[in-house]
Parts: sequence; C-alpha cells; structure tokens
Amino acid sequence: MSQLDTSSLLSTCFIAALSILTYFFQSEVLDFLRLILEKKYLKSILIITVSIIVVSHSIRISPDNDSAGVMIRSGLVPLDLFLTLGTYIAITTTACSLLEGAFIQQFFSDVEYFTKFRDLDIYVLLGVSALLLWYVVFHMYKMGLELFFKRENISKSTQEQHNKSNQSEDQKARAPF
Amino acid sequence: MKLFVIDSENQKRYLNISAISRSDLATKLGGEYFSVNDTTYHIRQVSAEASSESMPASTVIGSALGLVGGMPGVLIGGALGALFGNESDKKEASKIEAFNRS
Repeated sequence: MSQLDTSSLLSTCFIAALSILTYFFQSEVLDFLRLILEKKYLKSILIITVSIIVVSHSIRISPDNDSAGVMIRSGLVPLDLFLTLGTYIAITTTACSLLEGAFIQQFFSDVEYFTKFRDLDIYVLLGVSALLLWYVVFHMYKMGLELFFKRENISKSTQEQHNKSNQSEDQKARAPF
Repeated sequence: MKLFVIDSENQKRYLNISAISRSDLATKLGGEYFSVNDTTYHIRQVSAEASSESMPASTVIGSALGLVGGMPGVLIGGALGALFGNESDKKEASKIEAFNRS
C-alpha cells in the first residue's frame, strides 16, 4: 500500500471543518468576517506579513535565485524591493477594500457600497478580490519557504581547487579513527 | 525548485542560487567550478529537487478565502486552490526534470 499523503489529508480535513462550521454557524461566521473586514484586521495583518517577508527575502536570498514571488528584477536590489513591496501592498489594500464592500453589500444589505452593481457583479467582485488575496498569500507562503530554508552561499572556484578538495576528502576517508 | 550538492558526509547542501539548466548555472557562476564551505564542486554534482508541495497550502488558502462566500465559497475556493496549486507543482516538476536532464 502506498504511503499516506499527510498534507493533502490535512488540507481536506481543513476544508471539511470550514464547510461544517459555515453550514451550522453561518450567521456567526458572517458576523465574525464582517468584524475582521470592517476593523481592517485582515488588511493590517497582510500588510505587516508582506512587508516582513518581502524585506527579509530581499536581504537573505540572493537575487540569482529567480524567486517567483519577486515581481520585478531590474538588477538593482533596492529598486526591486521597493517595486515588489509596493505592488504587493497595492494588491492587498485594493483587494481587501473591494472584498469588504462586496461582502457587506451581498450578505448584510445595510450599507450599499456599489449602487449600480447587481448580484452577478457583486459575486464576480467577491471572486476576483478573493483571487487577488490568494495570489498574495500564496506567493508569501512560497517566499517564506525560501526564507526559512537554510541555503549555502557559493563562490566561484577552479579545477585545481576541485582536485585539491577531492584529495583532502580522500585523505579524510582513509584516515584511521 | 532547490539546487543542492551532496557533501562528503552525505548531507544535502542547498545552494543560494537558481538556474534553469547546468549551463545556465555555469554562466551565472562564471565557470564550471564553485565552492561551498571550502569544498569545491563541479556543476555536474548539482541536482534539483522540489521546494515543497504547493497544492495543500494553496487548497487551505483558497478555502479560507472562500469563507466570504459561505459554504459554497469554501468548497469552490478549496477546489480552485487545489487546481492552481497542482498546476504550480506540475510546472515545478517539469523545471526540475529539465535541470536534472541538462
């Protein structure tokens, strides 16, 4: 029997738990989400996380790494950092604001953010803003993984050094205990 | 995708560089030899492996963001997250294969 894929199993359990929670406690979940969105908790948490990860990533990871999370590669690290950070923060703030408006208008109807938008437009807006946030969070996850893995810095060498290095490795291997 | 070499103690040492092929790596390094912690390696000793599986994380992120659409949102978000994550894993697998074949 093949080995159990623990991470896939856990993610499936997570979806099941969230589905059950939203099915049985829908109004409580919606109220909680409204609180998070209106008090700007989500926006603040995401902006802080993005800032920490993007800045640490630009310091710790070499620009030669071609990370998918780094949006602009001009070759000048401060410029790349500024533009990448600016893009992620712009996406996050816009997506959070759109999500807040579309969510409150669709599920509470006590405030009308988009006066000329119909149901379909609001659902599309919800989907697009959630997709934008997924994009940011997923890239932060990927950059975070690169950041927390230990990587060795490398430097250019020569064939002579390689031969010497191999000889010393052989000597170490032959040396008595 | 992570590039690594195996040292004399059979430990993987991950490199702080990426490349699409070994020749690209040589171009980036400016030669075929490089050293890590006083040990010199040839680019032929470098291999690639997956950083981590993206699909489970993408599924979790998708379903958590789908909460704003209620229960259907959670399921749709989870499914789309899994789809995008799987696509990302496939792309990474083909990059790894291309590097290891180069």
